[in-house]
Amino acid sequence: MKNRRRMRRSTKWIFILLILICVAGITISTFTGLGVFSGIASTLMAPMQSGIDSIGQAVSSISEDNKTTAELKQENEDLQSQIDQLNSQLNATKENYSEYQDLLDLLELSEKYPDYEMTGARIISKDAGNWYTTFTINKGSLDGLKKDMNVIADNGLVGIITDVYPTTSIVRSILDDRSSVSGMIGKNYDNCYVDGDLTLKDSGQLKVDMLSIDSSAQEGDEVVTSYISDKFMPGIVIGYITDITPDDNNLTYSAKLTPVVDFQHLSNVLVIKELKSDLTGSQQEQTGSSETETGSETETETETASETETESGSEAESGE
Amino acid sequence: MSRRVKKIIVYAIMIVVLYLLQSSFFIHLELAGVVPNLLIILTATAGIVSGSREGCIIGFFCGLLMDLTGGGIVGMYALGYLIAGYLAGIVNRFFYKEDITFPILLVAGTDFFYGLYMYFFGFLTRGRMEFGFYLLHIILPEVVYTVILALILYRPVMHIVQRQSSKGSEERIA
Repeated sequence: MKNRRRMRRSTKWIFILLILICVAGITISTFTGLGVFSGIASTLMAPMQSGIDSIGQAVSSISEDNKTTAELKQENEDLQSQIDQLNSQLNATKENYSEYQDLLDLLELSEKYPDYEMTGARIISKDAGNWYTTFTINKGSLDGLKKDMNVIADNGLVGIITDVYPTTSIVRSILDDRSSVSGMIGKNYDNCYVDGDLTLKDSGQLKVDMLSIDSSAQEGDEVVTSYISDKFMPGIVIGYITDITPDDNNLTYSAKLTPVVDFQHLSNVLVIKELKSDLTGSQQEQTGSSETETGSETETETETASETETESGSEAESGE
Repeated sequence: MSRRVKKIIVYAIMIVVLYLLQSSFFIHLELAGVVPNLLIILTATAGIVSGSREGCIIGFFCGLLMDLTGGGIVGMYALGYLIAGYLAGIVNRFFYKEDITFPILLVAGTDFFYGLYMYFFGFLTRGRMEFGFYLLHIILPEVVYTVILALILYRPVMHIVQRQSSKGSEERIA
């Protein structure tokens, strides 16, 4: 009996001790981070996660394999009509694009989308809970990845790398409730914020905030990452506005946004191996030179070199 | 002493296996947009079979593993799981090996507590007020899915846990 009482007392002490360890961990990691331990744990888990993830994918694809011929035929027809539709759209876009190019030339704004150096990666696990939307990819600092690198797929923004370990990295998706991306309306450069929201996660949408009431944004407008963001590369497509309503304060609009990326079936992603902080450094140099109006014609043409790499990367992605 | 080492190894393997299933396998088998919480099944089972002490230690390590691989603040999950395990262990005296209804209800209760904990510390602190939504779309579906899996996993997990701590139960009988 005495033995038991002693055990109960020690249980209480263990409980309190563990709570204190947790509180200490929360405090330390809020200020500095416990990257070493996280790195060890993630590196140990990665190979096993990779294997089990493949099994999970196989199992979930079994149910998708069971399609009848009729269904496949129907799907084929649908896809064919979609191709026709897209082709006509593509032609229209091409026309628009050439017009756009002409206008750009007129404005002497020949700055194009920079062709970033990218690397493909596979998602091997997701956050093991239902509250946050982070996932682990199978590349890390050994592959040259760094914190704050942008992650894209299907030509749209997926998220940002928050932690890098030797062989894996953790990506926080833009759907995560803690995520907030500085964006702008593609056509008129009105600034807004694109926030993840768990209440919208089931519908696969995001929330758009702080869009000025003066904006002429409409449903269907494209939202891209903004030039003023300090972590996201400018001009990456995030999604399209679906539902726009004025806020109670009559100063701003709120809206919903459908992302371009299909997060439900995301298994491979591309990581942009450049950081916004490097880019802003070089941009400042450029603006500095254009202000003195001496180096306006000295635009470097390094883009073609990196273009081939980007293409091979995207081919690898579509191949899988 | 070697018995204790064996116990630690068995628990470590169980935690890692359930964690891997939860983070890499069941993400492909979502139901109603949620994945089941296998680690809470282990934590609650450890608590009910062998008491608060093991419940909170196992819970702590389950949560710690999720913290370390999740890339967020280290200690959030660990604290939630450890309190959940401790609470599950309080009703340890009602444990009967043959009974399954009570442990399953307890797993549900523990998972529900964990859901509330995650909401209060992870979301309410950031000004997310729509508790009803989170209750209906995250917490309760997770409880239901977890209970379904607990029906399958409870017996094997319980047997393993009980074998490791059989000394304690003999003492209770005597």
